[in-house]
Amino acid sequence: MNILLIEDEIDLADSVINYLSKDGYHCEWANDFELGIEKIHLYSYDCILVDLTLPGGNGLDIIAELKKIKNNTGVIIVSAKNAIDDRIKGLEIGSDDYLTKPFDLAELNARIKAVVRRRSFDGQNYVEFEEIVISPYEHWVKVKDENLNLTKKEFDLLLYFISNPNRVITKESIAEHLWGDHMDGADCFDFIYAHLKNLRKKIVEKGGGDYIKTIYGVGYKLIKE
Amino acid sequence: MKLLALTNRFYFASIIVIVIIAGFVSYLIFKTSINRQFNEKLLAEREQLIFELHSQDNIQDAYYLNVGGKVTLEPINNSVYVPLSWSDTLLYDAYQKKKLTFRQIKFSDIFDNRNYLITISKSLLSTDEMIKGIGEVMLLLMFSLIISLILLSNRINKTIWQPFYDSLSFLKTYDLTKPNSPKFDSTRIDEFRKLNEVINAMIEKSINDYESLKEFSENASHEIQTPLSIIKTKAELLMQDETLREEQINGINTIYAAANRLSRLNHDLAFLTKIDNNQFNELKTINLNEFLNNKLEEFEDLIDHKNIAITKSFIAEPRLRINDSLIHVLITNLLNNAIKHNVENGTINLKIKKNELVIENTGNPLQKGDSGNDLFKRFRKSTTSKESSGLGLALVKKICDLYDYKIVYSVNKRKHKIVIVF
Repeated sequence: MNILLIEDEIDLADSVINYLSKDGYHCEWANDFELGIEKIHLYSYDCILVDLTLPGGNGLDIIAELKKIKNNTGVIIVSAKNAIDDRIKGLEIGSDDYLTKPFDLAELNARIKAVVRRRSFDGQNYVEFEEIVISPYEHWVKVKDENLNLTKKEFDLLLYFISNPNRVITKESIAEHLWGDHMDGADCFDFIYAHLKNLRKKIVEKGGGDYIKTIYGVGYKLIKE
Repeated sequence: MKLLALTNRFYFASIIVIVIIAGFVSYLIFKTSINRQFNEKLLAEREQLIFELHSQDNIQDAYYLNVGGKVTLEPINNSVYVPLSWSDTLLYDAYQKKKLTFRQIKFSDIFDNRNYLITISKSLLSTDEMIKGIGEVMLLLMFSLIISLILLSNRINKTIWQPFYDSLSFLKTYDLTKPNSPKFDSTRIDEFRKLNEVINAMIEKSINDYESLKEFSENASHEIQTPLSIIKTKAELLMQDETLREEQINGINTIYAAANRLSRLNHDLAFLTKIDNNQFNELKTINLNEFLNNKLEEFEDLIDHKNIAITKSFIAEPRLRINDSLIHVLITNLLNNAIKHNVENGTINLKIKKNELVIENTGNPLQKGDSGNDLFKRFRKSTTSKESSGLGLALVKKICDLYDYKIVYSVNKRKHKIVIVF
């Protein structure tokens, strides 16, 4: 999968590229407006991540330009501004998602996957991890071809984990993924703990492996046994 | 007290003093000039009388004398000489039937070998009458002055001071956060024109300061998010390193969690600033009942998880004119607060009346010495939850203040109640 990151902050770009590369993505980086424009003209990407405030121009113009030439590329705006105007404008000109800085890499990864899934197979594809298969759009989960009944939050949790396999995912990141940025605190972490316990039990009952490991004090990790 | 009323008070006081002094002085002037006139008349009559007395044989004939005044002749000792003198005296007037003031001349004269003390008296205008006359004139003068002064000051008030009142009412309604700032009109009165110029300059400066402050706080909040992103993502990346020991990962997690908190804090502070700057001025009509129900759904998992029982009594269906983002923050923070500070198997009672929203939840009692008065202050936190930014209820208060909603917190042992009256 080809990803283009247009972001002027080198340390941030470095983290993002490092994280995504481990998932087998091919990542390219443009650190300013000019280079961003050049790259979208020269190459094809599955998804581009665009910061809005760039040296040399506005990220929105890059998106507009991209939409003129290739319409099949997913676009995620990554901005420090949590401005509703920008969000609306971005969606209007064809971006798929909007992520506010600071973000979790796990969240970014999950969003990229969702955007790419939506774009490339018209949402008809499945996500797999070992014997677990999820259909994000038809909302079902199968373990060894058997249907698994999950609550909505359990479903979201599992999909989040499977989008970030072999990664430590923090409690905070999960809480934000499930409730957005307005919930936090011990209640959420309790909730996550209880529901992950349920989820693991349900998967094991259907003959699946117990893949979700607790990283004590930090979070959880989906890992092959 | 109005400026004009105060100046008028001074004017009135000085008019009264001046009129009293002027009355007294004119009395003296009139008095002296009248006396002088009478003295001369009396002198002339004395000459006439002496001439008559010396030329007539019989004193009786003197009654026919051509002298206008009242004449008395009193025989006195020959050796006494009374020099010519004037005086004012009171004498009985047969015609007016009362005592009146007379100007009197007194002298002695010898005729028919006898010495006489002679007085000639002429009735004066009564002093009372004169004072009365002068007083009347002065009073008339005073009243006409005062009345014209009142009329004049009303007129001045209406015309000359008008630009001043215009400026005043403009300043009263002026709102820095509203971008449309009409300028003051120019007037032909120097003082007011200068005042308006100064106010215009001041307003312009305030607008500039306000704009740059707004820009600064926005920029500051954006600029902080970028390094925070770097800290957060680097920490997240480091956590993935499987060669690290548990305590090292925990250390990194602490950095990560702190960055998260800082970011949330920054976000909430930026939000407060935005409310202060009146940047949420687009209003929508919101059905409170629907909105609250929707938000409750979002929190459903957590409410179930904590096994909290919700009771709703919505006896009205108020519609609020409020900004979208603000009602979201208001209701979310209130519910969040009611859940977060609740206990296992607790309750939340939600009531909606015509002008009122009541959220009552079970929870731990407040610590001793904590009345809950500063619950809505920034960074006031209960010790039990260290994850909160401490700005949640401050945001709620700020939003209530913005829309003039009254918010009251009360606690009865384990029941905490927040009432919002809108």
